[in-house]
Amino acid sequence: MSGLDTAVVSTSSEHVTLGVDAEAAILAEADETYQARKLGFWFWASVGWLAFLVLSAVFADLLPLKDPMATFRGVARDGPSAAHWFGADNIGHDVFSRTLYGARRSLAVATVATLVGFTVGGVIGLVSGFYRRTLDDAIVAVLDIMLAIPGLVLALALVAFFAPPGRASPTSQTVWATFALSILAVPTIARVARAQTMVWADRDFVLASRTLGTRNLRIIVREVLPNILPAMVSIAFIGLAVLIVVEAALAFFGVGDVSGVSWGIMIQNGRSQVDRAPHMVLFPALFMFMTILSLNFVGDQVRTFFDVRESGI
Amino acid sequence: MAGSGTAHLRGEDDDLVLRVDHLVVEFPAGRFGTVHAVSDVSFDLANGETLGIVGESGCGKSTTAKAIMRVPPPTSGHIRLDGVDLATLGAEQMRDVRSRLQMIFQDAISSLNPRRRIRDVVAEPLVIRWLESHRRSPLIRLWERYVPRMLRLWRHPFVRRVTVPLLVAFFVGLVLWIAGSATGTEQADGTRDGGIVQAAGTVVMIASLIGLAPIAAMFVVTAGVWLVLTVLLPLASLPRTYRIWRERKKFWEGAEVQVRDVLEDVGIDADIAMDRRPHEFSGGQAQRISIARALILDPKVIICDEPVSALDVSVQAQVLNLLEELKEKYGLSLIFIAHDLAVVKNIADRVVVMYLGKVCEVGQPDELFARPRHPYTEILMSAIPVIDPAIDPRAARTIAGEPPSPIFPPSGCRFRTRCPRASERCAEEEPQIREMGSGHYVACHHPIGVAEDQVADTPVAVG
Repeated sequence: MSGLDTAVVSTSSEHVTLGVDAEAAILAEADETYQARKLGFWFWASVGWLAFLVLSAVFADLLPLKDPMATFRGVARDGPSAAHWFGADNIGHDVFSRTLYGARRSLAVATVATLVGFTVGGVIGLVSGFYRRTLDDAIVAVLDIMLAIPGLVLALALVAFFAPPGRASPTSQTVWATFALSILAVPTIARVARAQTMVWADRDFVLASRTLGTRNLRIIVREVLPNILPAMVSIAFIGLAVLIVVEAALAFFGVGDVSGVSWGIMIQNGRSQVDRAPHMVLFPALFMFMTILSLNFVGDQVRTFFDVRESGI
Repeated sequence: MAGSGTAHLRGEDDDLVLRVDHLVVEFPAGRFGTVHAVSDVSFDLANGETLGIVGESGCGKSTTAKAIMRVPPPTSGHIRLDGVDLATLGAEQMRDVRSRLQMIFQDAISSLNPRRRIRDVVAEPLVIRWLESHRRSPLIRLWERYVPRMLRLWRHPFVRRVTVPLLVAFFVGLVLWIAGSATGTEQADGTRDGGIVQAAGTVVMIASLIGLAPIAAMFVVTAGVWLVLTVLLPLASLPRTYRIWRERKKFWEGAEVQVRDVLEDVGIDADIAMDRRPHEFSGGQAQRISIARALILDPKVIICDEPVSALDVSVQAQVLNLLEELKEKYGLSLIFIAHDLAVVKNIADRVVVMYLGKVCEVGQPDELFARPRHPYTEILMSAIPVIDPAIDPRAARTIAGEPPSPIFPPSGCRFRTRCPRASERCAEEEPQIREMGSGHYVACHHPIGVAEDQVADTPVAVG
């Protein structure tokens, strides 16, 4: 059995400590990792745009903007000018101030809906992916049915039924619109969370945690959740972009609160004037386009940035 | 091999820590099949001993280890740790036992959560024990007892046997009703009279709904109770959560000292390592960290599931030496699973050779490797590469193919399909483990070193 004997390596078992050199090497490597993880120009441009939009929407009242509800004489359908930067619409509203004020409603409704969808969908996905078996089958069946219904039709039906335009109060209309959008967000986020949970729950560190007698709730929260969060946040950003479009579409179709200002309402108003006053549609549509593009960029970068290295040195 | 029996188990007076009797682990495979991953495996572990388990991939080594840790629990059999049978313990009592029984894994880096700091990873066993030491409120304990019972009730075969036919009957009735009304004669008022078919459909539907009513009521009531309990749960756990939150600082002061000590014991510089994450360490360092996690509760038995297979050979030696040192220092007993025979030969006091979920041969490593009795052990030995240019590796005895499917294991001796010494008897009769020489046990009808005509059922002492 000479093979057995020669295969024995006798190395002294001196304690392997991270010496100064190893420390420096690790730090150098960490630097390198950061270099490789630069977020890039487009990420910061997107963040800049979103920050501008959010700040101007929040502080719109403090800015020297014209009253979005005021009608100005003799400027109806005029294109951009020094007085009205984005021109004026068919009844003389200032398009610039309406575009900024319109961001309020679009962003607020879509953000709240995404947050609700993120929480509910995340919990459903985690539970479904972690416990599997019958529970998972049932949840997946429900999610599939929800995904099979066209989102816009579902949202329209919900809002039109529970908060009919003209009869329900503006508040109730906004609440129902937000609720309908949350329902749209749930299945997508739940699917992503479920798929990720299934991957991570099979890892050895979850098994190691089980051998310690850890309770399932703690395993889900401490071991699985931190690992699936980046993917969920990433999909939430993209979902936010989709919901902004759907919110505008609801306003365009005249459901939800249409008495105020929003991008969807502005586009709906400008639709019939496109040949004479294209700026009425152009500017809110451009703002929406840039916002959605930025959200998609940010969503992609977030995932790449928070991916941890899993292999050793 | 592929033998059953307990002839190799030692008596109570041998200071045993762990004794595994007739361990069976089976998994459902597909609709009807069953994977016989571990079939009737027995072994024991004396205090301070290192037990090596060897065998090729898929022979059930790791499954045995996981079954001892009850992730998942074995299908049948007994696992006695200090005389307490783990196989029958409830989840709560098992939690107490787990501090004496720990496990380390093959892929060290993947057994550490990439998002947690080493401090948290190593302290986790302490945290679990600390959290469990706070009594839960009666409501939570009620919830914990209620939910499994509710699920068991829902999954009861009787519920399925009644629900499925009744649902089928309901839809048959619906079809009858629709068919009847579609083909019926039109009445003056425009409705159709479906006649006997529609009436029969109505009766079947109503009857099946009456049958389903108690089951539906059961679902609604049990789920309602669950909902009420669950809503109250966060409220009921508030005092406990507050107590834990108030004590966390004190706990972490103590825990940090312990983490530091155990990290130093495994040769990791605690100052540098504590706040780092697993990916910043090499495979060997990560394995040291997972050993630290296993050690922090001062266990009696550590199950090492191929702890060095994924490491460089030089690092393997360091980790093995470390395990030897720690075994002395902490008074551990080890179960050491490996497919590297050289490693097992050096670290183990006793070796169990497994094949396809059964024990082939048990013995002291020197004796076992010098004079293997079981054909499988011999072939396993001859597969070890020999560093000698004069030896032609092609001359080594090897066996063709892969182990048979554990879903349809061969009859009699499970090794017979690949065994050079197999006879008809091997297909009919499963060999029992018997003693051949002191402390050397083998499960084979035709062991090596015994003339073929001498083969007998009675134990044969050889050499």
